[in-house]
Amino acid sequence: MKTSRYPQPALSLLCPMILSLALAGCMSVQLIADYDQKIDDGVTALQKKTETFLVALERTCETREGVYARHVPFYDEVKVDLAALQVRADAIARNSLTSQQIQSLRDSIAKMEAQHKQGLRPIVIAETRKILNSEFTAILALEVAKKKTPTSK
Amino acid sequence: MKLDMDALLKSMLTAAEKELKARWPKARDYAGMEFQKILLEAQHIGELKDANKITEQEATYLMDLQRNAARVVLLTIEGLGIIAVEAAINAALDAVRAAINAALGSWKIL
Repeated sequence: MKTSRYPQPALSLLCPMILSLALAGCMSVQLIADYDQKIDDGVTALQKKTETFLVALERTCETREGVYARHVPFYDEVKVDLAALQVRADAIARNSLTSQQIQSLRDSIAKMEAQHKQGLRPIVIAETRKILNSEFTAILALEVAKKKTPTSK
Repeated sequence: MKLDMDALLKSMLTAAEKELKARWPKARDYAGMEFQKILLEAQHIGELKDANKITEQEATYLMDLQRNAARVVLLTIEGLGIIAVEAAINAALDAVRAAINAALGSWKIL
């Protein structure tokens, strides 16, 4: 006999609850924020800016061109970009997951800046790029999933 | 108001389950792929440290970044789960909307 992977008693309890909500006037339930084009565009642009910076830095980091003092404007610009994204994410209801993700990304950029002050080597930059790209990808994956394309209609 | 509770409940369960079944594999595949990347990256950092290609301080820095990346990935997985549950609840509501509205006569409350 084919059995469901989902606990029937739990669903059986959930359905009357949903029905009650429905009868109370709720047309549909929203548990997470809608997709936001500005977050998507902002994170995509920031990924490109960071990647461009790190690709160039990987080549120049062991020269005078690569010292931190020459790249302060990049960090300032990225901090402003991230602050703007944070404000936008925080302002949207039911968007705490994206807000927390952007907070983590800000922390990662701060750590990268601190490391740059001590000196960055090509091998460390290559790893930094990979890890930061994982963060960017995860943030974008959630944002795109919020488009909530129906799967069963 | 007369509602066939058993039939409606069955419709809601079927609709909710269909949504969960459709969405869970995507979340599971994403989680599996990202967890694997995290483990490989952690292993790679260890190998670089063992081969003296990076210092202990650099390894600590990279692991700190990796921890942040893992957190961001887990938040995405949590979000995918919430989206799946939201879709399941709304599919369940959709499944019984017509029946409830019909039972209530001209009131379109669902």
